[in-house]
Amino acid sequence: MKRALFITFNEVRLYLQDKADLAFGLLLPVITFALMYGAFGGQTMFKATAPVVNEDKGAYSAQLIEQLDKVEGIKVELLTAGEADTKLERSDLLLVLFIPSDFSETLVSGDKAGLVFKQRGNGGQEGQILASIIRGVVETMNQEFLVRSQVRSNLEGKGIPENSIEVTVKEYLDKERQQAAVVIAEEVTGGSPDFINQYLPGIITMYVLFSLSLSARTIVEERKRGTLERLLTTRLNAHELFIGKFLSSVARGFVQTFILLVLSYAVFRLFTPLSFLASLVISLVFAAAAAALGMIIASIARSEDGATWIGVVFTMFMVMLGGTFFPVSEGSTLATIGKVSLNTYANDAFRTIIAEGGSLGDTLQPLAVLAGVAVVGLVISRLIFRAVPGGK
Amino acid sequence: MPEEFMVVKDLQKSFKDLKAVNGVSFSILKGEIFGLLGPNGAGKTTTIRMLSTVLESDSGDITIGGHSVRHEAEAVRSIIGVCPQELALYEDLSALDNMVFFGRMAGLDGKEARAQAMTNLELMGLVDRAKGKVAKFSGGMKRRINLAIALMGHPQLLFLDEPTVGIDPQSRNHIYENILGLQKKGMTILYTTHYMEEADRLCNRIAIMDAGEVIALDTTYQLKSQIGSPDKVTLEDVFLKLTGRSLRD
Amino acid sequence: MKILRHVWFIALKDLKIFSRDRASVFFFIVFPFMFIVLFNFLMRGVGGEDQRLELHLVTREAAGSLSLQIIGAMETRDESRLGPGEPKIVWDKDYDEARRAVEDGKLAGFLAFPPDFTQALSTGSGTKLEVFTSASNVNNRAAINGLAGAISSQIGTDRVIIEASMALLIQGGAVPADMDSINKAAQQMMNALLAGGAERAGASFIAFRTDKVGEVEAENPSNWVIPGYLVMFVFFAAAVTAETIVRERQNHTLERLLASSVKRESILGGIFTGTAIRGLIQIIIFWTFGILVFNVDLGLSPLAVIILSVLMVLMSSAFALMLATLARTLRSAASLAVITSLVLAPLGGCWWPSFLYPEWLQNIARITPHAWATSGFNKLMVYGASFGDAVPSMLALLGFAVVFGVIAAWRFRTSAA
Repeated sequence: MKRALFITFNEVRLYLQDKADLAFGLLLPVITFALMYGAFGGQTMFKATAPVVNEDKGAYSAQLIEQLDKVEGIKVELLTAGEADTKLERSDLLLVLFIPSDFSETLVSGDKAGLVFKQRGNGGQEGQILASIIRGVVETMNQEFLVRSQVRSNLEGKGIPENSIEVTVKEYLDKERQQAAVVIAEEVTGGSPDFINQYLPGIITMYVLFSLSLSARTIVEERKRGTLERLLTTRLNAHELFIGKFLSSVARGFVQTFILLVLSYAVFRLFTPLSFLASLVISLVFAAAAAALGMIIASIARSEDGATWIGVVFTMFMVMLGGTFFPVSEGSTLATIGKVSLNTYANDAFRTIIAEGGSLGDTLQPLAVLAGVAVVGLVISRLIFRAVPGGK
Repeated sequence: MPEEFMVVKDLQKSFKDLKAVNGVSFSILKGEIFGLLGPNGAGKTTTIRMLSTVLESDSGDITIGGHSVRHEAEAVRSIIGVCPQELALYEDLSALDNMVFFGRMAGLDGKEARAQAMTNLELMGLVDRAKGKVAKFSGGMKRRINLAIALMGHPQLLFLDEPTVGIDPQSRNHIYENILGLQKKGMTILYTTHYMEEADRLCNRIAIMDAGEVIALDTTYQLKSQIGSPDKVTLEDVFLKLTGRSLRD
Repeated sequence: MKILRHVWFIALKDLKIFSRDRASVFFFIVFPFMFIVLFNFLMRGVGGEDQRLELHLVTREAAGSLSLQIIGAMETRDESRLGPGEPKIVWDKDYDEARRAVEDGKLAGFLAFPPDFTQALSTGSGTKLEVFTSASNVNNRAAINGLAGAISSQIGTDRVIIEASMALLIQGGAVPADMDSINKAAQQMMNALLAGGAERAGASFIAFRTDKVGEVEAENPSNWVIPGYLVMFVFFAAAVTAETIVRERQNHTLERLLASSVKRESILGGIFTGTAIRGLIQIIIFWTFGILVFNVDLGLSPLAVIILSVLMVLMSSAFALMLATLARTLRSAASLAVITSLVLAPLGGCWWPSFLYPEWLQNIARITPHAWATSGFNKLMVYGASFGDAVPSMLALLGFAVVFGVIAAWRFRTSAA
């Protein structure tokens, strides 16, 4: 057993000295998390493209389009009527604003102008919001006409000169725009902490699983190169060699998770001392399960390329099914299929500790599953593992 | 008097501060088996790489078959064959596939390449294993394939860089017989080895290199005569006398 | 001519080696499909959501206040009478309960009138509308803010009408300048405006009409799943080829080729061609399967989709060559391949659409060829763009291919030293 532990310590030492391995195991998760945080962690806003068919060549349509383009998150895309109809027909678009050719002329003449929404169904979620934004912008334009009309109506027969009305209306409209009677105060709940709780465990478990499944490649290399065989010519026996390799994988996975958790604590202050320790226990059990599966890969792969491919396939499926990148609703099909993924249990356990403030006792079920996988995986891999082709 | 097939004049090559080849000069006669011996790090492989156009020399002239290596590399490559020290094989392909591929690289068409491949496989005693994957071959078989590939395209000058490393006496003997057979057909061969008895058996003349220089060049008989009776002295004695007994990198 | 022959033979040799490795062939083709099948299954029905928006309003004012009148006028009492796209307005009676519902994730958000809303407006001191939403529900936030904006705008319009009218009436002597007369006249005007109600809506100078041309159909998820994963896996497969090239360098077969009449350019060209042929086989299988099994719609310009696919293969092959020149060992080649693939894929929008990212991140993503490829595919296949719209993506991929190729040619070494 002592010799097996020597192998373990040696491999961990090599791991900590191997810059490429460290970059993969530590830098990459940090980059991925930073990327996702940048993409989704902040306060996101509604963004959409507003498809508009402008058959009018006048000032008011230009003003409408200009105002719409200024709305944050909205980009106007001008289409011809034919293009718009084709895209609506193909459901490439669900809502298009049509500005008729007499829009500006009608408004200038003091008559009421019309705009048309051509849409499929309700216009989809995005279309409905786009429609309400467009109505809001139009309302601002409409405001001017309404105010002038209503003020004129209020002053009818009072002998107030037209230019006085114009000047005064403009003055009060400008005042309203600068200092609205009713401002909007927004309060948003949720956001960043939810993001960290949702994604951090998944990203950590993803890269640990990647590292351990890809390390199977190293074992295959050693087998082909003959260094495993060489070890067997010393006083090390086949069992000790196997245990040594398994423990070194567990140790590597644990060290990797430990460092990532420490970094998480340093940046996000996620843990109490007790929850940190609980997380370490989860890390150890998960690393054991992942290492056992890595040993199976090392046992069945015949070439280094084969080991790489199996490792990548296996990890990506585990990751995608394990709710790493999107929350999985309970009772959904994905939740059912996800039960085959190691990451499901590891992520659940981490979230219980980190996000929900639970204790280790609350994670007994996922831990039991992971421990079970570790034991079964270890037994199966020992039965099929060969340090030397045809050997013990 | 056989003509000079390869002439090397004052070859120089440095890698940063290391002078790997320092003014090497020799010539090889047509149809000769010329041995290039030397301890590890003497500059043999660097010299061969320059001769086979893989590496460019810093200065000096090399002429092979009347063509300058520096100015007519293309012509030189069409008349040489190289059997490197490392097993430069595609292990995932069969022996035949390897040979046909390199034959086509040497300019043969498909039919010709296949025919020559089968001839060379027969020469090496590997016809039965022609379609076998090279990865499954023994070390000796891989060495024989390595040599067989070098023969594709009927080269006039063959570079054999330690072709018998790590193989059994039977395979080695087979390779010796093939080499002598090729010489009988008029091939010129530059041969490097660490096995002195091999050099003694095969080579007409031997150059001994050390520290990037040729320190001795003559027939094996003359080299042995320099230090004692040729009947009693071995080539290894000559080698050790000239290069010393200290360990090399 | 000789160079082309050598290029071809080297490419053929690589393809032969690849085809003999059954495991690699399996993962090269079957694995990406497994992913596509999984994600098609998971994404079924996405994009088909067309439920009417439901917006919640709450007031903390007492009975008889202006906010109650506003909500009362807006509340949806009969949903069947709503036109297409009109939101359903729900009146929540308890502010605290509504807040708790948002915090617990049961409600996306609501708009609330503060307790002093009417009084503040009467005194002219200005007031606010409170929007309380959940950060994760971007759509609902935008909708409620839009509604708040509309209410704010309406009230603002009324204020301008009253203030402008009053100013002019006072100026013109129609209303005496004392406070009582002013207040009385203003109140009358306000009452008239409020009483206007529905008629005022009809008095709008710009009216909307909605023409419904059909129902919303669920998007075929293959239209974005297949391109995204195609980009990722073609790139990944090519990147892994870098390992093969490094192996050739290490086992001296590259050097052996040089010692025959094979030029350096032929070797580069041959490796590139072999990798590209593999990539082309991959995309042919992907698209054929996608069209026949998943009913993928190639959009208005299938030719653009094909050209984009081919350019992506060429770019990936050039990248693999470049990677091989940068990696010194097999392990580093494998690691670099996996690392670059895993970073570039999500950044470039292969796992989810990059238009979900903030602007700054979308700009950063432009340094990845993936972003250009997926953006081109999305434009063509999801948004029905024309050939011309995809040209920038094509040019970008071509540019990447050239840059990677130049670096590869510059750095190409044939010996392990």
